[in-house]
Amino acid sequence: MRPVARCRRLPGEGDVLITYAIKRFIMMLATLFVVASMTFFLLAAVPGDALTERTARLPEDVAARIYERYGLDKPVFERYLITMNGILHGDFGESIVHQGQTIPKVLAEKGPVSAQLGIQQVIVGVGVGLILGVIAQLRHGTWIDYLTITVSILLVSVPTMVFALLIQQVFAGNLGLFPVIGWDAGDLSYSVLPTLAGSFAYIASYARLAKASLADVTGQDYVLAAEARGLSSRQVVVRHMLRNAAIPVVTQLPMTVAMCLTGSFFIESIFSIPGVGQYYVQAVSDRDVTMVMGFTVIIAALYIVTIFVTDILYHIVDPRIRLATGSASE
Amino acid sequence: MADIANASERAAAGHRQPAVDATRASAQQRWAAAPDRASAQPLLEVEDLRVDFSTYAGVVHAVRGASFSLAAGGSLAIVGESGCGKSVTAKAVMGLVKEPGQIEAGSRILFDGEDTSGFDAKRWQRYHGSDAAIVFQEALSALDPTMRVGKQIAEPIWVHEKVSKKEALARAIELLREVGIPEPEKRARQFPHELSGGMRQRAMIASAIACEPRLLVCDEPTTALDVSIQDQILEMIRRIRDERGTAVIMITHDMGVVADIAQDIAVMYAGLVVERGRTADVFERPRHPYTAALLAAMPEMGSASGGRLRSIPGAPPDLINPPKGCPFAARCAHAMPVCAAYRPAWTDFGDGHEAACWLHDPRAPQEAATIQEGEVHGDGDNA
Amino acid sequence: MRSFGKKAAAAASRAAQAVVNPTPQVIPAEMFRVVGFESGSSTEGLRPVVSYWSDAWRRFRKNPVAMASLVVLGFFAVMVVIGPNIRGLDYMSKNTAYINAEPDAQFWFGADALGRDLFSRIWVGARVSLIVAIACSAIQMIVGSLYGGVMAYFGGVVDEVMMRIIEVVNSIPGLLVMLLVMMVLGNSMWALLVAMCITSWVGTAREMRGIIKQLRETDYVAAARCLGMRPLKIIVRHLIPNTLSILLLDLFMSIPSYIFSEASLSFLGLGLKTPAISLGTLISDAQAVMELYPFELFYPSLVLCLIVLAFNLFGDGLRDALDPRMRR
Repeated sequence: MRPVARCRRLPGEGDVLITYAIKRFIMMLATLFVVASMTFFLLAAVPGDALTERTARLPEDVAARIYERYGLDKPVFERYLITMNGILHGDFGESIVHQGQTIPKVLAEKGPVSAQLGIQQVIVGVGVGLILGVIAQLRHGTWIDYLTITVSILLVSVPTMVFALLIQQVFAGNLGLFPVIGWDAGDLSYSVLPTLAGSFAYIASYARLAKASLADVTGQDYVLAAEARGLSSRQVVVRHMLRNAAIPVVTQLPMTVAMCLTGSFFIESIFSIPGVGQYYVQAVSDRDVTMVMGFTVIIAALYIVTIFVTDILYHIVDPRIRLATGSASE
Repeated sequence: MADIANASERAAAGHRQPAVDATRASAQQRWAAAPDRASAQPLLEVEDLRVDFSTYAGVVHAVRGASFSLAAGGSLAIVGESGCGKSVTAKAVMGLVKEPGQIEAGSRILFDGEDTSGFDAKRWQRYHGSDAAIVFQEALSALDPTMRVGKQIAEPIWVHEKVSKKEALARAIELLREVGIPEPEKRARQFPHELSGGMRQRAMIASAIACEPRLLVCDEPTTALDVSIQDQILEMIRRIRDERGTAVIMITHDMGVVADIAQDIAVMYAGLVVERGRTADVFERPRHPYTAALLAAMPEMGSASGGRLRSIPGAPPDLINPPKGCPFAARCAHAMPVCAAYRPAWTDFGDGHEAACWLHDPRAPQEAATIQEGEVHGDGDNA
Repeated sequence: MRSFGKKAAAAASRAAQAVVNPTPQVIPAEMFRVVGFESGSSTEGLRPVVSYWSDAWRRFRKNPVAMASLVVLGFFAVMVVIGPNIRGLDYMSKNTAYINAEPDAQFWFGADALGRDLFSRIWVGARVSLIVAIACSAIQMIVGSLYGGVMAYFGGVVDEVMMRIIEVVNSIPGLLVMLLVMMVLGNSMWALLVAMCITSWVGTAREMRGIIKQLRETDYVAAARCLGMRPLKIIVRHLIPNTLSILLLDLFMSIPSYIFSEASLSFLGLGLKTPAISLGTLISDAQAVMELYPFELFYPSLVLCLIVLAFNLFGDGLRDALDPRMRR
């Protein structure tokens, strides 16, 4: 799913880079516009929204007033213009389920929770995964290699939610060790199990990725050449192998961070953690169109920026991408 | 090229190669291809080298018995078509045969009388770069794409000579200048892909000769290059040999390259050395039909318009199940029943010129033993 | 690597024999007469030419893990067909007598909160999950190949515009779109198919475009064109065989992720909903009672994980078999 960067050639230095950045920025805005429009019309097509239920038993004039309050009495296209204009000014409107709730308020309250959980997941998942994968490949053919391969393919085959439920089940008995549900901003122990459950998948996939990239690098001529220059095997690994094997890992990383930051839907739902992910899922279930609209645009924006960051990173870690400038000459 | 001459003097004055000039000169005069003949101890001796590769399809016997030797300051070409095991031989000499390849027991590679099979990690490190260095065929894949060229060339310098990385980098830039790269300061800061093919190969050579190795293995260093660049690179290698006294092993499939650069030649076919000797002798009077065929396949100056290039009919044998007799028997116009049955013994033609061919057996028909260049594959033209 | 140890040893001993093959002192004189080579004899030593697919199959067969996963997949394939009927129990209607019955001789995997046989339900659920996953993978491959093929075939402006579309779609977070589409279309199987495929085809399209463009440049396609081969024949002879293995691999690699997606969406209550049965809904239903009846969560989860594991191992083996160097 991520050969995006590979196809996109970044130009070299100076003006070219600025032109490129501007082009990409326009492209990002266009993408965001498409996402927002698509989301709007999808939501507009939903048969019945939260208000339908809320107003079902109310007198017609009261219902009409409520519709008016949210601007839902107007024709679709006018609403579209109003919504897009609002988004341009950072105004996403008010929740139609929870009166008075707005995107900035919810974000300020739930954002930090998701972010903390996400960062912990990334650190544990990616960190442990990379270490395991690198050790496994360097100790190629030993028990630790086979163990890592076996465990990571097992872990890759278990969905996050099953992990989360299993962990809850296991720790529910041993009361007092770690809280199995809920969240307390000041108490880290609440985050232990969700972090664990959320990072398993990353441990497995990053161990596999690290091992595979390192294995790819192992047979390369430049590794042999480095050894032939008299570098110790440790120097060869550090100076040449890890450096090159890092390329696929580094380009994968921003996406992982983005996915973690936007809130793990499953982890937050299962552990009843008041984060963005849980809120979004709830909003979708409640058909709270304004909140779904707002969060979709925000998450998509984060996602798009992440892809941009990935491209830039790719540019930094793999100098060959500059090939497009054609600076090779004799 | 005063630079290389200077470097050579430096090397000669240095502790590592005492009186190298004197021994080299005499070695060149007395040097004959046969290992047992060199009066001085050869720099490199390879005896019965066998390398196997385990693959899905079975064990590939890539090298099945290669023996040759090389005097200090000498030059040897290992020639053969692709897949004959010459590159693997080069890697084996450099101690760079990796899984799934394996050097079989009984193979001996002696460097300066020292058996490399007894090397530990530390000794290998010293060997690599400082005793022996290698130039790969594809400089683009042999240079780390993520590291600036100068830094890579500096590596052997700070590894072997205990100087600061900064100083090593300065020396690397000097080396780039020596190998004829313009604007070396700028090039050193570039990445391999930013250099042209010829420059990359020069950079590789600079990195290989950085620590004045006594042996330089060149694994088809010019195959991937334009013809005009090829000549420049060959010229540089020759100069390194002559001015620094570096012994050179040139792996190639191009007989023209051999004639250009090597005093001695070893012809490989299907994992076996089939003929060896002085290049001049072998070119003048090839004793193995395969060598003769290779020579005939070489375009000749002046006769390009009239003469026809002769190819060798058939394909080399499968090295998973190699033939038990002479591997060339199936393609040889002079093949006898015995060729397919038994591996031929060496016949010595004097001055180190040897060939492994049944035609030179006393029992073989006399007229067959007088193989001449071109005669071998009279019926091979149509292939 | 270890699997061919025995063969290697055998081959090595053969080679050793060849090396020590002693040259007898007396060789019959008739062996010394020049006969030259017979035409065709030089190919004797060559390995038999085997087709790409039989070669791949040979490599696959030598991989015990891959073969085991194939057997397991075969088992699951049979079970999702006959599994629900093995016990001969009614797994659809409520049975108050057996509510949350523990696993026993009658209910091998126990019974759910409505007293229905879990063993039968799991196989029905697995059937639905598998059908959804395979259908989604197939849609992804077909749409992706067509889109990528059109891009590569027409090139120019068409390629450029279609590429921009891909970039936009690629920038949309997949899970959000899935949730939105499910929200709009409701909780049906068709909605699920649309939701899960709506962004996934992009990867395949991009890949196919790359491969086809690359293939068009290759010497043998150029040669075929020069020889006057018709476009259709080129497609049949060269493009399809060369892309098939990659598509096949992608197909098997993407099935596990669809199984995951379905289960996850259903688990969140946004995919299939009871009374529809899938592995996701079974797990979702079990969550409510998992502290008291953990087996209700355990068995569907186990089957889900085993199926995904088998597909993952099979995919890995397939990749190694089809081309050991494919993932460069």
